[in-house]
Amino acid sequence: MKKLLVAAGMIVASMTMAQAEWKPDKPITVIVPYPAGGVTDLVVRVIANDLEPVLGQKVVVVNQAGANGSVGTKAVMDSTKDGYTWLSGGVRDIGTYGVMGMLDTGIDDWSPFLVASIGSILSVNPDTGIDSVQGFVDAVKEQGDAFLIATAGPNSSGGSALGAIAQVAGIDPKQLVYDGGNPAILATVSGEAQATTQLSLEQAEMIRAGRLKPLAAIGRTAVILGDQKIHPISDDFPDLPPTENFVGIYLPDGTPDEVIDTLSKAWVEVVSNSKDLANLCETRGCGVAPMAPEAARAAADPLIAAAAWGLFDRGEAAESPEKFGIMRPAE
Amino acid sequence: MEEWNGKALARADLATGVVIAALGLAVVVISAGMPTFVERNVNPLTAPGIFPAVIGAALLLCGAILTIRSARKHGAEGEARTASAGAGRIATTLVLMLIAVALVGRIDFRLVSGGFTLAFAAFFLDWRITGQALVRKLLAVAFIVLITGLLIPALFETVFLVRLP
Amino acid sequence: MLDALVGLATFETLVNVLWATLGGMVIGALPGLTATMGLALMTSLTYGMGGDQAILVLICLYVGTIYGGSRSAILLNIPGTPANAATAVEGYPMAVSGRASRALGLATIASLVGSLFGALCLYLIAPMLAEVALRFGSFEYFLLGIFGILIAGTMTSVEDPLKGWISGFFGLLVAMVGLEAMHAYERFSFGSLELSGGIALIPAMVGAFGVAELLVSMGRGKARAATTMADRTSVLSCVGDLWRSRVTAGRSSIIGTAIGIIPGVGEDVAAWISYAAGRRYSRRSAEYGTGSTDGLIAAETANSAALPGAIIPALTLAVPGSAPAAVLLAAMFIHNVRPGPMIMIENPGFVANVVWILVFASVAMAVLGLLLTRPLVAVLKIPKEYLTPVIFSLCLIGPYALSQRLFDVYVMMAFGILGFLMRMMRYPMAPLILGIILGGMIDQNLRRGLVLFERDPTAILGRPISLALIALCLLTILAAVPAARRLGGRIFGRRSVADGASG
Repeated sequence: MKKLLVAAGMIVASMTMAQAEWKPDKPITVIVPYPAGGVTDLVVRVIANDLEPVLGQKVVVVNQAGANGSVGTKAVMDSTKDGYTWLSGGVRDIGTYGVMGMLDTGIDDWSPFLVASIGSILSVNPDTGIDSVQGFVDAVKEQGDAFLIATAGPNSSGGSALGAIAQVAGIDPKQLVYDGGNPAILATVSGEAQATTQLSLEQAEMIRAGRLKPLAAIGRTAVILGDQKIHPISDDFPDLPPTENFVGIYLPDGTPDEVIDTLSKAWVEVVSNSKDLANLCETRGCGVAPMAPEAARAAADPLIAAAAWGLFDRGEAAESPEKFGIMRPAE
Repeated sequence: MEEWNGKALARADLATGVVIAALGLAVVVISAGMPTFVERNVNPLTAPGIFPAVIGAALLLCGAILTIRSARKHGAEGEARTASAGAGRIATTLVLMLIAVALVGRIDFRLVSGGFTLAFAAFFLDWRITGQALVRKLLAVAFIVLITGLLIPALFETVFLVRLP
Repeated sequence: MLDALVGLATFETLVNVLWATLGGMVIGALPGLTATMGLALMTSLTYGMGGDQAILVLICLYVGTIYGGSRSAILLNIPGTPANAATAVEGYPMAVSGRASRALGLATIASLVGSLFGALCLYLIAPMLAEVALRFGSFEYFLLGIFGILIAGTMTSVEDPLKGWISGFFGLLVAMVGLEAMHAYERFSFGSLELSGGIALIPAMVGAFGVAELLVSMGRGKARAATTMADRTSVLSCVGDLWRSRVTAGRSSIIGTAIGIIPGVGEDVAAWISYAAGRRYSRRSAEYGTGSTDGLIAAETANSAALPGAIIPALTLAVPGSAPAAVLLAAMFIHNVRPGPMIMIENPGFVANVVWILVFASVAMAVLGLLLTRPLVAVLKIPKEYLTPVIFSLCLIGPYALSQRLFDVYVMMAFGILGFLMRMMRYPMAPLILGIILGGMIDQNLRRGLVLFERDPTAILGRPISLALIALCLLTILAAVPAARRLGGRIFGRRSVADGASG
């Protein structure tokens, strides 16, 4: 009887613990591990603003750029796990830091709260005269070293999108790396590079102005930019591995449960109702994707697996994905 | 303490010239050992070691020229100034600064900045005074401590939302 | 154009312009707080405002910070933002020699002229100028960066360019530390995660200018305390100074705007190149380095003119011309303004709005700046035994505030000691900072340029901008080599003047 009472007491206690509403009593810091003005920065600032009335506290965005995001990520890993320091960034990047040998962490160490899905677009400089994905594949094959594709690096969204195309189309495209998405796009517009596979968010304005010719959205869904509909590249290559990425906020393991519970409950509503986010996504081609940890993991795990094994198979990884419990996706 | 002149400068240049040349050489050697990533199907012209090697070579060249030049100048006129009155003040300031930097992050920032101010005043102000002058000086120091220990941290904490170390 | 003015002229606008510009000046004057950081913070504070007013606040803040940085550059020899490093070279000697009010007033008038000129350019030629940015390929960026380092080395260390170049190359080397962006390879990090993140510019700058200056000034002893006679100066005498340097002001306005337009290089580089041009071509170049009004005008006009310049590609290409402009661009998107090649068609009124906002901000900056000159000069009257702890506290917290890493505080102190030693051995500090700013850009553009060169050498070497930059670089080096100078003297039939300084 006594035992039963204690057990019942414990259940009640744990229930009240779980339901305890978290009321932050000082400003919360979100670390953006990239420079200001980038995609993560843009999305996180919008959502931080929408979270403030819900939490009743300021949500401060701090840019802590360096080493492809690993410096800021490490800072959050080393911080006090009291729920007041959050990380942000692409879910695929966090899932592959370990495989790349940059940081000893993986998605299992975080509670992901996703905000938006971002995808890349394959575009060419209009002067190349290329107007189809097949035309692009032919140009890569025929021109070799003379046909350059501008990206922000092999691990960037543009780089991994190009990797996915190379894999399914059986081509060997020559990548020219720029120090960010915007410079890569500008180089394609100016004709220094012939094509780009950077994010639609970054290309949107040049596509609208006709300075870049979009050939396909690199993914399984069409991208709509204003009145332009860009067809998915999976129409040309049905075997395309997952390439999109999600931007979100991440709380490190060890964060008090009530913080995660409070955020989980409010999350979907806050993100879905954000007018600024809807507007940003509508004009620049991203997708609103509110997902609390459980749903987020279900959506993110296949992407991480595809990216990690892709890096491993191309010889770019430092560790086997198996070491981080990432299983090879079924062919 | 003024900037170094004449012989003292030539001697310092000789030493730094050798150091800079050695640094340049080390940079060239480390750069040459950097990978080219050709195995990742990367154009070797984008290897990470190219530009550091260029900088290393430039430093090596400049260091060598500086060394040769100051060795030639060694016989030049001009008095050699080795020590000066300011050296002690600089050393004291430097030690206080290093202690403050070492304490940041270990104890509350307000204590670091306020403490630095107090220690600084204790070392550098003339306390051989009495009466009203002493009171005035104490008030002035208290005011500065208020600025460094409270006002500046508060400014950063509330307006710029910085979490103090 | 006038419609836009009428639409903006409200009481709310006036209040916002005043507080935002003043706030910018304070942020700019505090070492370690940059325009980029100020704008990023203010973007989150102005979410709730209407789009037009929020953009207005941000642009005023931007103008205020770049100007505010000149205050601490002149009074304390610590550039408040990287854009004011050249200002410190001339402004601080002026302040030390008892012309602090003059320097502050002159910097104000020069900034006003520069930013008004830039605003005019934004209005007149924004759509055309935006296209020029596209002519700058990788190789041109590389050459521009190298030229910047060489010219800064020569200009800040006239009697011994070798030391200027060593300083510049060392800065480039510092910029190489950490993960490089092309293949994510860690250079010179020796296994340290802190180093793999690279050495940040702001802590290095605050250390090299701030802490080093504190050490030097403490070493000077009581005799040369910073209690300088505060001079009296009038707006008219500043305008007189400006009129005497009208050629420099005009040249600097043009250089500033042009550099601002080029993506990726901002107010800091504009100030240096304009200062270098002034030192070479000004009729009063002999005064440079010793508190020259002409040099101060060259620096302050250019960095203020670069600001509207940097907004031009941000508005017309959605490609920011500087780091603060990147944050401004992000803020515009958040407030439903879509900058880009289509903006002149989609939203022409917005460009006119931005021009007027810049004019308001410039005027507010000048008025506030002139009114506040006196209280600022009072700072110089405080004995340094009191002032040093205040500045050092700012040096400690400023770099930390930026990304809240303790490592940055250590970097600050290390560069303070290095900067002090370099000063004692007569190395200029500015090329070091410019090297850190430009290192990453030069490196990546060189490597891309080599790939493009391999693909088609004629397409690179046949371009007029590349050829002109190569010629400028060679001339800068040759001008400093004694043998070449003697040869040059012989060719032009003149006896070479003694080059004892480097003999």
